[in-house]
Amino acid sequence: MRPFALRLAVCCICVPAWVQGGPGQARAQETTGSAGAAIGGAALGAASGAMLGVTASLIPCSKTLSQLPCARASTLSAGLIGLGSGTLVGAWDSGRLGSAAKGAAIGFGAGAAVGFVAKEVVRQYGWLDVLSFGAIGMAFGAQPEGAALGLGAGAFVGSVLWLAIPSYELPDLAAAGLIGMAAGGLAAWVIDAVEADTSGGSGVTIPFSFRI
Amino acid sequence: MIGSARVCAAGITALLSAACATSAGMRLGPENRACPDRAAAASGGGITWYSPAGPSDETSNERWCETVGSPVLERLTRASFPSPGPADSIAVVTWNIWIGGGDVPLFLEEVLGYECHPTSPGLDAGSSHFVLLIQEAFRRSEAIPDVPESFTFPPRIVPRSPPEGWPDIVELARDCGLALFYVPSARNGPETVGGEREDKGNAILSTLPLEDVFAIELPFEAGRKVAVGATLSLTGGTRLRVASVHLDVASTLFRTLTTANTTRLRQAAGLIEALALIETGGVTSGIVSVGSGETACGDLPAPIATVAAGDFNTWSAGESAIDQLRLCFPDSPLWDGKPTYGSFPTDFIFFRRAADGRVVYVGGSQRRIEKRYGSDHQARIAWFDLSE
Repeated sequence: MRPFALRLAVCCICVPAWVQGGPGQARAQETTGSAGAAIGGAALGAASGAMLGVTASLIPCSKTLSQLPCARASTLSAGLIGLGSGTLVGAWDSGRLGSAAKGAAIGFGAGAAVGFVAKEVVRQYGWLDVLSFGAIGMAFGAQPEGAALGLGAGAFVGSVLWLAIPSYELPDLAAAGLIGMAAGGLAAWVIDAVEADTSGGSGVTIPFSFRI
Repeated sequence: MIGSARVCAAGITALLSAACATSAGMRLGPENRACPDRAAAASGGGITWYSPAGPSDETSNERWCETVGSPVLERLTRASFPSPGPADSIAVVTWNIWIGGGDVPLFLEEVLGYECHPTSPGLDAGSSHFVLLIQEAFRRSEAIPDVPESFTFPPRIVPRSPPEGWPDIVELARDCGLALFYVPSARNGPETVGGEREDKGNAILSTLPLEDVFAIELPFEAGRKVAVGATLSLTGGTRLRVASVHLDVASTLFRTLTTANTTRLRQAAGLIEALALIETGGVTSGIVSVGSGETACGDLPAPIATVAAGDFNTWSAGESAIDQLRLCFPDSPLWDGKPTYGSFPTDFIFFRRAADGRVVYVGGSQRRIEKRYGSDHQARIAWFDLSE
């Protein structure tokens, strides 16, 4: 039986994080798009989605012998969701994409700053690790409301399970938080894409054709 | 916008392609290496080395190896003990002693009924022969080389309240009259204290002579890790191979992301492959495809029963590294659900019977030692029966 106080302390951290995530704020819509913005949106969405996917996979996939296929599937599927959503956001609403790109840049900076501190403290960390922290920050920052809400919700659910189930371990709690973050971030990308499409923007015609 | 798209695409490509680079192919002896050969020669030879085949692992292991002293091998005990009989048991203990923080003599006395003495140690009547598989042993020596300041050393670890005199592993073996095999894997900090430097690594202490000793440099992740092993001759030609193992706790974040967090799985696969190489005399490789879910452990030859135990630094008992080891050591004791480092289940004992079945695990005998004896880890112990 784990000490109840320790479990309570974790909840005290997780619940405010969930509340702080809060509902997403409505953004100003520019309702224009361009081919360049669609490509930029595709790149940002894919990068953000893939980073969210790989981060969410780290702990759950390490509990299966098919660790690599598991992580690859998570990274690829999340990257594809991000790619599709980002493309639509860029194609229909460059203002919305600009907001995501700005958040990604801020997230990258914040993450890299954390990484730099870690590099000074942890012996084996180098500049690639600073970039890695930045990349995770970028993925989070591109959809901060969704990722934060997901992180808080995941950590909250994880905490409840940790309190209730003795065999539920601390890494499982961390995994719940990371999965929540990824799910929240990806959901926010999809919602952005739907909203960009339905907000009546002028959009851009993407010249794809299929022949059967 | 297009420029940033190219940068992002390059990043994703790197992320996805790097996730494939997790081979743990092992081979007999490092090639083009100065360090283990020099170390083995200095210790009188007789140590068989195994190392990862990848050039990146080799370069990193070589750099780290150059900072430590020579292995120490005292094949025989200082006292003569009666040989184990056909109906005897042998106790196998795994314990991370936290750089000498664990009070080994007190542990031996209270847990194994063994009285330390340099020349006339005493094994209580009714007590079994034992082998201690130790992690985080340390050694002080003037002979540990001075190395360039450019090397980033792991920080020096000093246990909170070491036992009186804070003996190193060589002094412990001498003071207790036990056989010793110690291979340092890294420096314990860059400091020179009283003209001496310190290194740390895995060790074996035993009441039985150590034969066919070997050292396995594991695939490099965050630091150099060397598993050490030996064969014990028991009774009537029965032999037991033992290995003391210590895996990395975490790699770098970049490596964690680009290898799908396979740090310990890759090291466990390296250990399994090296043990298979030992069994076959160096012809088997590629039995474990890291992280793919594919393994050929069922086909492993088992001429000698093998115990591999140690501090696997796992955050969960359900980690793939542990599952992989269980597959390849199918006769392992069941885990009792008890953690050994805070709330983390880090220490395990794995076992594989030989085809002749003359060494068997005594069912239910594995347990966690509740007292820490000054270490930050709790030990695990298991008994094995010998039969004709």
